[in-house]
Amino acid sequence: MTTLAPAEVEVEQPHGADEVEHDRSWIVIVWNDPINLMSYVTLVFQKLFGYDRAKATKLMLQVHNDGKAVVSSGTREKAEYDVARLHAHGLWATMRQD
Amino acid sequence: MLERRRIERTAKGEIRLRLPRDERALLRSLPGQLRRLLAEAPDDPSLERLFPPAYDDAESEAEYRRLMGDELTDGRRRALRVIEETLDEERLTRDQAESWLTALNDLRLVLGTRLDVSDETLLERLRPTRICRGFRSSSSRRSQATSSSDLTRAGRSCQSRLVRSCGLSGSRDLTF
Repeated sequence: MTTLAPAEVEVEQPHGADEVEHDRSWIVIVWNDPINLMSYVTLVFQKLFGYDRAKATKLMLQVHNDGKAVVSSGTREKAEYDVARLHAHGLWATMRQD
Repeated sequence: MLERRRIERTAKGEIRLRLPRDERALLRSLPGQLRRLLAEAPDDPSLERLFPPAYDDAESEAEYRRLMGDELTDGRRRALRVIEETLDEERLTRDQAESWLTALNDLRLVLGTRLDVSDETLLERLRPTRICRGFRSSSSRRSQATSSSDLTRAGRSCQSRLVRSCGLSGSRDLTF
């Protein structure tokens, strides 16, 4: 199974106003695509984030129906780690500051 | 008459495979082709769905690629290798089955990109007579007379059965 070590990201030391920027949390978005199986996407959400089946299914359907869904959030490091794990499983994931 | 399930979970948690010969034949050539494509032509356009951008801005994306690119590629090649090494097994461990899942998903993503699949109905309309070049680099002149429709269907069927065996049951086998 693919394993991913937490990504090491060089973050500049915050100064003044920048500190507020760094404190803003990042969100991870999964986008709809025409190839991935719904059952597979649900399984990946359960496996990576420990969501129960109901929550994973709800998120999968949100991606399917709305075109995208926020699947996790947190520090930049955590978001990048989650994006990389989603990429390792073939899901179309991006991240941005909330 | 009851048909024995081709992929099912055993009482011990292993995955039992009863794949027809033609499906095993497809799986005998595709993982190796994709592994070589990843190694020899990593910029091939058909691989773009395997490596979507994480960030909007180019600088952060370049850094992400620098940090994670090799690991993502290596993980994909390892999973493809598991299919190659266990193709003739009758039972898979849970870990092996999960490698099959991700590798089959990768194969479907690359096939879908090659075929320019934009919605599910397109996939259903593809005729078996259509020719696909397999996973060789787009610049390669060699062609392979393989039915693209059969490939995507077999991969999808095999993957959805594995999903059920790996923990979900009764899920609908629909693509996004």
